[in-house]
Amino acid sequence: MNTSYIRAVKAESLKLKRSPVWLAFFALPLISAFFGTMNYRLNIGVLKSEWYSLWSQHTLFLCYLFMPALIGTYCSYLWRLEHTRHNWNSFLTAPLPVSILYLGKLTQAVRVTILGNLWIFLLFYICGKLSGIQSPFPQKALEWFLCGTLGAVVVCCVQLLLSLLIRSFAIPIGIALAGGILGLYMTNHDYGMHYPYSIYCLGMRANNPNMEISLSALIVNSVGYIIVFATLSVFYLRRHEIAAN
Amino acid sequence: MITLRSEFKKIKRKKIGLTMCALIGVQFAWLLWAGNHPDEKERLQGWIEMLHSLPLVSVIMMPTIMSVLASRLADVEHKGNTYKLLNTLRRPGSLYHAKVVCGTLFILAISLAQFLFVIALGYSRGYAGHPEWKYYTTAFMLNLACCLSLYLLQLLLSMLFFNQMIPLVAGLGGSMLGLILMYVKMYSFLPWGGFLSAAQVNMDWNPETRVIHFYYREYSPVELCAVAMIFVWIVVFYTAGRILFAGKEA
Amino acid sequence: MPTQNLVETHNLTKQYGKVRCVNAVNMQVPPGSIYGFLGPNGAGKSTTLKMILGLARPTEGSITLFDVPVNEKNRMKLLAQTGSLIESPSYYGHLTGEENLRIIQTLKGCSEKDIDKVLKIVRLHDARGKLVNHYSLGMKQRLGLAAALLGFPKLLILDEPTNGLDPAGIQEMRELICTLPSKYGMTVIVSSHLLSEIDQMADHVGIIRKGELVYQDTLESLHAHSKEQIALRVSHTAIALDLLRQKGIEAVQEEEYLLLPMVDDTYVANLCRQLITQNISLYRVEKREKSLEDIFLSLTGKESSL
Repeated sequence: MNTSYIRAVKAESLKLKRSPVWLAFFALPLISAFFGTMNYRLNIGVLKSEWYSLWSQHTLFLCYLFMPALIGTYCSYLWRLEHTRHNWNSFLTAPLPVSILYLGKLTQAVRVTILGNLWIFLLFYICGKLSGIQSPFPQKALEWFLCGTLGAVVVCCVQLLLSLLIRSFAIPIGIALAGGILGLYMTNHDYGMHYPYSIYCLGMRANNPNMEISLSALIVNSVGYIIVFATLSVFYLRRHEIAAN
Repeated sequence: MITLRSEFKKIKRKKIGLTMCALIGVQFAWLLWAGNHPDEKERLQGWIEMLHSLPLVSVIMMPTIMSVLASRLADVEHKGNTYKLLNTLRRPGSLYHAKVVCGTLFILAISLAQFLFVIALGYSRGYAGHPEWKYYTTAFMLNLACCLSLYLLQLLLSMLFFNQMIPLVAGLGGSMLGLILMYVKMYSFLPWGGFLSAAQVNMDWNPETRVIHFYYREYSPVELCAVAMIFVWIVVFYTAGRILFAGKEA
Repeated sequence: MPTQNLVETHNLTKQYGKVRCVNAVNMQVPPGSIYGFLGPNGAGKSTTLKMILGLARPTEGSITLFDVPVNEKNRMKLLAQTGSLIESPSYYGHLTGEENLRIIQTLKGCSEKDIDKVLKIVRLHDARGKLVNHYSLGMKQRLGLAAALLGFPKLLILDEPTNGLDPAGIQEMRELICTLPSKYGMTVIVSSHLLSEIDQMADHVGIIRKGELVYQDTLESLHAHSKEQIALRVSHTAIALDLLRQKGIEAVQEEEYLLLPMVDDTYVANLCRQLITQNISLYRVEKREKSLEDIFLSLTGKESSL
């Protein structure tokens, strides 16, 4: 069980060689941080909450509109590897349970998401220091990071399911964008905690670092969604004869 | 013509129309949410406010919608490995043109739906007076042109790369760049900046009275250049596509 | 040698909508054999093989591999002993041949040294560092075979492995497959729509037609079906036929020819002499052989011929 999981993860890592798809997770936060910091410094008269102001400038657009779609792109890429070149045949005849094969994919998605999130926080720290913010780095940032990452895993699970079901590369990404935008509405109307695409933004405290959220609700809902969507994916892999035609 | 018809046949069962409808649906939902004022005084500015919201909605969603559309149309051939086959069946380049025309028709339908929805919405909400047709027509044309330039760019990328992650990320990144540039009010000559350059309505917000005032703005010479740039991009991307795909290999 | 078959299917059936593309197939593959699975395109070969590999679920019937029933519980254990190449080869084009094999090797959990060995077997050793996107179709096919060979499984399932290969490539693939049972103790199921190919590789044959297994036996017995005949063309066919029948010979008329069962040379000489004395002119005396091709066509039906 344990060794087969490691084998599945290793195989997935090998597949991702030579295609620097993670670069996207590097570039988009960078753009966001650059312009966010610029805007913060231009409006320093209005934005007085130092780290907190900077954080909202960094994350507003990124978390709501682009991270879900970016995660969706990565998930689409992971399944596209199998959707093309008749790879379902070899993928599904590997002597590993499909649940393990699925976990191999999920691990890759989660890994790049965590790295992306770390990068966002690193940029936040660097930009804050460069902008000469004197107050200490907010300790709450660790909580934001952990909650945000958990929320991002939910998005990974949803997008992996969509990209598994839909053979098109682009359509699940369109859905992710739409999902993220609807998340703005959901968060505004206090449904955010129940809506898969919003949990990430709530966890990150995107736009509003002072937001009070219920940690227990976030954890319970996230874990619940992760289990539901992962189970659906594994069930589909097991029951549907993907390689039959 | 035959190539175009076969283009529509290819996407027949690909649910692309459905996807486009869904994405447009989200735009509608957003617009519904955006300009909904119970206060009659605010409804006075309804028409002009809508023209202010439209570019914002477009800049966020259109680049991605265009990348989805282009990727969907181009990827059919990547998956089926049919670029070479089709080029032996048809005059080289006609495949590219068919995809350009097919996409343009989609874009036309999307933009038309977007504007008709806004107009219908305005009347049903009882905005004062009528939409100012001069500005609405200009907005429609420029929105269309912007979408077209982005579509041509995305089609270029989607046909060029087997790995569809590249065009899709370019679309997302561009979308983000366009949005942020709009947010910080920075005009640019980038293709994604077009929506902002073309925007005709500005807004004043008085923090003390909390009153928002919308007004039509005149393009400065630099802004006029930025608007003209949209059309330059169309020509550039189209020409690049012709050169790249009318050749022997695709 | 165990008496049990290595692969057995019982009443194996697959139904898509109302069409039964595989219908009550009882396949029996003895260990150590090269089982040629023969049938026209669309006869249900791939579907049958996919069901054996668990890529498609049988509508009815069951499968045993290595005397173990194929089910969810046993599947992983059985797949570990099986290598397969189904339809077109699977590959990740942005990676090299060697990297592709490393992925399969990791998933199978077999020794890394196997990669080197199989690369040599399929003669891709020199192209190991090249991106598979730049491989020719034949090289991709060989890479697919190499992937199937990783871990040197006891059972190898190859679906149309010569598809898309040039004549030299076909020959090479054929020779390679022939050596697998003796060299590595493998049992091979190889499907094809070409009789000549199976004839040169297999020792056991199963012929499938419209989802039904119409023939299954050793290749030798299939050859035994091909019978020899003597064909005569004469000036007065009807009179000659009467004469032969009076002598108790089971002759039949086919177009201008009279067909007789195989008889020895002196008997033929005698017959000819007698016909001539009856004033019947003798134009042709030929030996006819009903070819394997004819048998195949009669089994699979002429309408679905190649």
